[in-house]
Amino acid sequence: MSGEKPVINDYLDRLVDLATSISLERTPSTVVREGKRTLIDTAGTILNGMANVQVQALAKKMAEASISPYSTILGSNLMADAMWAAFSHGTAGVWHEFETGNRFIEGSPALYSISAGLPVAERERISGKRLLETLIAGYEVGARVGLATTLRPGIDPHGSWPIVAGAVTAGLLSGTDLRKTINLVTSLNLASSSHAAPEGATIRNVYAGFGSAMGVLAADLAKDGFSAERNGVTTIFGTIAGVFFDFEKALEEIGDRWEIERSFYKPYACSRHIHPALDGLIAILRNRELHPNDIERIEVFTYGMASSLNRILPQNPLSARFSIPYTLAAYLVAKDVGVSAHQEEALHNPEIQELSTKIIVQEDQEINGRTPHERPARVRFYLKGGELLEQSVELPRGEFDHQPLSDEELNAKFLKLASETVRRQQAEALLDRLWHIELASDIREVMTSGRL
Amino acid sequence: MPGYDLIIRSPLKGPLVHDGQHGKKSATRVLAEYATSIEWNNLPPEVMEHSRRILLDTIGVTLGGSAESEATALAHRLGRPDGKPSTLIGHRLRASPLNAALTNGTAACWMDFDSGHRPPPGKPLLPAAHPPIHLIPAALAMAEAKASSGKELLAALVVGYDAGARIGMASRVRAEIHCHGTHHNVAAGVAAAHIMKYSTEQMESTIGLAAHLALMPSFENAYQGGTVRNTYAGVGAAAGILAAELALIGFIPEKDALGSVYGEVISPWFDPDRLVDDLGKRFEITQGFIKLYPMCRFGHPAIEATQKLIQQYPLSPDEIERVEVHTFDWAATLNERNPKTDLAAKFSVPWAVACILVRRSAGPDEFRTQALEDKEVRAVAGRVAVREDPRYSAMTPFKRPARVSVHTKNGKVFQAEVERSSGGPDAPIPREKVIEKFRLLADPVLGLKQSTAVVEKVMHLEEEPDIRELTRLIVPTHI
Repeated sequence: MSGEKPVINDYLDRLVDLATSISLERTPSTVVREGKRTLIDTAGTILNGMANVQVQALAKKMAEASISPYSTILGSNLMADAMWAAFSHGTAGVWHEFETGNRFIEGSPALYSISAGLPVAERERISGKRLLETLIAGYEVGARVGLATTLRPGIDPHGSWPIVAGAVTAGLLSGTDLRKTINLVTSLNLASSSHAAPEGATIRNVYAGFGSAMGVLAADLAKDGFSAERNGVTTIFGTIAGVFFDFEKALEEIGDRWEIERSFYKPYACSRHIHPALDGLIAILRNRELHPNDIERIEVFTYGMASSLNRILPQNPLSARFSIPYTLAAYLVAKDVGVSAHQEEALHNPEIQELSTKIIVQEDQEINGRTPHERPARVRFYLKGGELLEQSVELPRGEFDHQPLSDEELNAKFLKLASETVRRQQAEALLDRLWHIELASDIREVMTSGRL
Repeated sequence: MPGYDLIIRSPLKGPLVHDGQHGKKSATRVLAEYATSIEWNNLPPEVMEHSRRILLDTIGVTLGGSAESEATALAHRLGRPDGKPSTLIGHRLRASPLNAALTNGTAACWMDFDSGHRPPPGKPLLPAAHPPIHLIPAALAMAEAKASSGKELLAALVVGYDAGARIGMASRVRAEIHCHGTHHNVAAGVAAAHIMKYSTEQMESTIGLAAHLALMPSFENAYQGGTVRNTYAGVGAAAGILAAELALIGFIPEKDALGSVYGEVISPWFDPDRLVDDLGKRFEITQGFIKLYPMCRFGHPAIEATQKLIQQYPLSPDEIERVEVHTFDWAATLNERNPKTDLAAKFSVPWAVACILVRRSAGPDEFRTQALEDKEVRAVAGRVAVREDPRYSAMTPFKRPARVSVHTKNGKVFQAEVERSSGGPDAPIPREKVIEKFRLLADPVLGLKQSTAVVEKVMHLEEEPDIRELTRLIVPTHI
């Protein structure tokens, strides 16, 4: 069993070369702009998550546990070790299921890069420009590992391959051997069960916090002289957490195509797989005013992953954010797609509960064949008078290539989310600083605007 | 999320996966009831003795590992001289329970000298695992923060040990996954929760939450000598503390977290009946083994066979032409003749056998980085072949034999065989031997006087009202 594994090829060297070559001067300006947009969107979701009392309690524990509290926990008045600030950020960032993602990889490398990157940059007193470069680098490498990975059934990507994104950003910021840092972080992947989210098990939010913290830890371990196997990425994501690692996919159009430019931004605070059906329903309601009483039943045809999100009576907000029947019913009753649509009060609304039992979700084989380039759903309303209304959606709103969210829409989302935690004026100031992050000579200047 | 649809239609959710029920209650609930109800005074004397020995042994191996440069760097990163409740063992540094568990768990693993748990012989064959290096760093750090008594700490070790070891027996972690940082995160969580005096409901949550924070680390790091492997147990110990804290805040695990994590994600099956079989009657801490050599347990029979051979035939290294080791299948994989790091040496039977033949010892000094420069040992290790003897493999796990054959330059062959190595429940060692090992590791760090005081304190820990009277002794007080 000992001895070297054959080196498959130089894919990891090429990913590392890409990561180390990124600079605002040389990297396309559209990529840099997308870097800022992911940062703004993610900062907004983190600040918003911090409004939750459990996240606040966790952040307090993290600050108490800290030894070298040089890093801000966004949306609080707390300082913590970089690792534990990252933990708080990651957990807060997914709390309302509102974070940016990428439909080709089923995960959110931005969240991990940013959750880990902000605290390390603050600890190391890094400039805003350099932070932005390392966030883009973390996204690219993490996303390409994600592209190449086919996870085992039953594993939630949170806490899994996106940890590479956080490690790359943290590694670049702390000046560690990047190849070693990547190989080192892989074994700190979580055995994250994918049943948690639909079941409403809030530990699922911790997967993202834990995974972000492991990115920081891996970079620190690399700095402290710890070593790792030569091909940790393929060992973990090809055999242990994944069933297959397609290293050619990791290099597909590398340097020409930027994964960060294929990001989506969520307009609705629920699982991305619900968005196509929700867009279909919203389109129907745009042309026709309907009351819940008018509806006999609704049928949703969609792809396999989305169709499994079919719980009728979710027991808590997290579970509701993974339920198509609940989310559609809540929209019909309250016209709400924001964070409040899935909060505890709404869950107990009898009108929503009753309506959700009339919504049937089915997998459609023809639709399955069109993913991931499309994420289709077909929504069919059967009205009590016998009338039938139907709407098909190929892709949900907010994709890079379909109804992208404009800068103004992202700004509005940020301000709404951030204002749950900080004063509106402060949120506006922070937003302005994030749009001009490259001007900050020390990231601490920016982070002070993110404190309570 | 990928996987959701697959899960629903997956054959994995078929008959192999249990619904987590044990009779009318979930097995997790039964375990939680046990873990919250156990008190020191009701434990059988042999359980008490095992818990004291394992605590002493784990403190010893942590002291031994704490001096390594990487472990020291980590301690300085995660600790500071004062102001925090928990001790970084072997350092004049203190930290939060979370940081202390991470640091001490990593140091505890470093020498590969820590004690383990061997599931009883039976089908399917289950590998040994290492509860104490997860459990003790978490429990000790939390006990200091809560100023617990000696009895409270020792009882927490007993119940935590049961939780982790029993999950190990109720599942089968896939072979390519290193078991550190996996199910013993639950051992650490249960011990911490016991010290925090949790209710049954809180204990139940802690079990589930700790399961969800299981790592899936690679075994490959051990073979290649990647020292990140030493952090698996540290991260696992910290995950146990986190799980206990998260339970208190109100975080929720899946209803059948153990079934999902240990019956699907990291192991193909999970049997809840095994989890609770004879719970409270059979204490798994008594099934532990204490290592006498700081290397992978599978290599120990080969070491003892070589010792036996040398005692009978005191050959000098110059006389040796080549060496053949025949042993059981798992041990036969430890065949690296040219280990490049100290960690790789701990997974090399040729290295261990050569150390006995050349240096007449396979102790801590033989597995440190400096020892790798010993040319004489290297020369002999390069001539040791390790092979599986299928007859020996068939005898596992009841016996774990090894046969060593030394071929001399003048054409003679000397042979010795052992059926099993010592230190386990089937070949127990006396208390003195455990203390002797502790002294070997602790004396250089703590000095003779303080090291003696630690032994005294641990062996009468149930009389100690404040655990900090022990922990103040496990850092060097001399400069």
